[in-house]
Amino acid sequence: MTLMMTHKERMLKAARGEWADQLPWVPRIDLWYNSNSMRRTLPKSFKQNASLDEIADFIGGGYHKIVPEFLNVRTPEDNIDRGLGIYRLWGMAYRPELVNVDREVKKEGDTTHVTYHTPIGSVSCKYIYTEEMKRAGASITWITEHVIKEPKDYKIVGYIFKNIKIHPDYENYIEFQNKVGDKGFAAAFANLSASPMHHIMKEFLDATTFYLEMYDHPKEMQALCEDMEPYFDQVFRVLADSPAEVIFSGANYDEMITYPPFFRDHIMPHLQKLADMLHPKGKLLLCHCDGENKGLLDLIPESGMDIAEAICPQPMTKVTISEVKKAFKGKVTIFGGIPSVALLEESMSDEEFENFMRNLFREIAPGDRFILGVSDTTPPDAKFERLLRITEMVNEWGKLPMKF
Amino acid sequence: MLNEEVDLFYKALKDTNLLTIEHLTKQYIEKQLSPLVILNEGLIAAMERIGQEFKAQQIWVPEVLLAARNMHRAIEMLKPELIKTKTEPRGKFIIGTVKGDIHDIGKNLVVIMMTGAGYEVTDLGIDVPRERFLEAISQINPDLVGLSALLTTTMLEMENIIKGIREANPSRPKVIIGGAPVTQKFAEKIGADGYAEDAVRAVELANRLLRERS
Repeated sequence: MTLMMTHKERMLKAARGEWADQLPWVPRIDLWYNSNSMRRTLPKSFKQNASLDEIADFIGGGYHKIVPEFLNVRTPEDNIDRGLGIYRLWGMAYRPELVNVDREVKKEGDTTHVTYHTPIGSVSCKYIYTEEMKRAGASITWITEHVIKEPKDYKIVGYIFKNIKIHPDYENYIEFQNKVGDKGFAAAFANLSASPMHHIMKEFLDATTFYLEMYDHPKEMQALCEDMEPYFDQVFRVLADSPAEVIFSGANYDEMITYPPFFRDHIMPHLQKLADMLHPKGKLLLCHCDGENKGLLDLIPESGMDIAEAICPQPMTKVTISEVKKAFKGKVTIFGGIPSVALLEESMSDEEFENFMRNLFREIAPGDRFILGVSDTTPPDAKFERLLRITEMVNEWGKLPMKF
Repeated sequence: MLNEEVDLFYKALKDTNLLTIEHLTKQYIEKQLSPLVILNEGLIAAMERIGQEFKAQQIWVPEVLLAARNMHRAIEMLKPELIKTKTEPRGKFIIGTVKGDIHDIGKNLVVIMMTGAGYEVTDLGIDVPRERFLEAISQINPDLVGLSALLTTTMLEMENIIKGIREANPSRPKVIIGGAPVTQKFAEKIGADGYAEDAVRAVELANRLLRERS
């Protein structure tokens, strides 16, 4: 008798370019869950206090444990430095410590105002989390005032990062890994950014200002990147030595935001550096590629990335899964493939959904280097039955190699 | 305006030094050239070229934003002259990212391209509720309204806003939508007049809708 593989084994096989027994199916449902749980609109077959994992078990796929739970905090310390883009969340394999920095926190309604006092000056930021965001299932707070507001702030933020100490927190990670068990791989979180410049773009300035600052204050930006290098080095080293099989570093790549020359010059070198540290230890590098990737398709397979998670095809982007597969040349595992609008009745009728999924399976076949998932996440108003239908499809057509 | 002169505006829009466009615009104002010619044949023609380069992926977002900033400065300098000649914009356009969504780079690019194409643009910003759109429409009486959303959670709000606009006035303004989760089919379903997949196409769509209306 041949034993079936666990979800985790399937996912890791797919991630390493080996054949699993069946196409791994791993829907991300956290936003859907948060929103429906809050609105008390979980499907009637569940108790309204049903847990996310109970529902994932019912769907029958693996557990999507990639993006940390930014709002599920044990103490305020866990996400108080959200404005700097650093966290101390449950499940993380490292813990950052701010050194020589006094933090002053003020709460005003939905807004958190944090000021960082350093020996060379102070910087501040604000972020919000409203009732409406809760109802929409938002998984992270929104920054309403960024930490860099004037040229002098670059140096102060640089001071903060130059002095951060990164401590291994492997017990915290192992707790997470044990909780996920054989239902999936528990990705160890590095940062939402892949590199210092990417971090400045994502966390310290709004997008429009960031691009103009590249012309207006290039020297200050470059100096800040240099100040941030030791932080990234420490995080990479601690994660490379961690018990995790998969490391998540960098999110939201997109041909417009992280346009090809930016990706090539400011993101790729750091992905390659991290991959070079991970691969000799048998670890894999995962990135959250949830944007329009058409212009980045040729760069991704050269970046050292093993798993491109949240890959989203037409109609939400310009690419088809066949095009992504061709561009990745068997070097990168696609995690995703089902655009979130496919789960919305407003966007696709049941018949259109069926046709869409049949075509998708045709494109995925024979199914190597593929983990089927929703990109980037199941929307709150998704038709739940469609997730169950996908499980049926995977059971019916997903035996690897697929002959669809 | 001669091709060589349009080239000068094109180069000035791409220059990282704001003084370049300021000097050029001042020079043309001093030549007593019609402000409308400077705007349409110089600045808008040059910006159109930049838009096409962006569409063809020969240049990227930072270059477009830089050009927009330069263009904005030139228009500021031209404004007193334009007011004197009572020049009408090509059309009035209101845009915002719908309620529940704070993503703005796509919307900002549409603002840039529409401004660059000669529209009078009112940017309502991000996380804009239906009531704010309706209020702005009644105050400004725009020809076109643009709704932007990046999230699947917020794209559904677009339908709600369009319903409100149609209830207030069934024929005007035209509504165009855009954003990653949005498709042509979705646009038709919710009663939008058009869908554009990027900022350059948004201008093309706006021009077409206005032509059709007239």
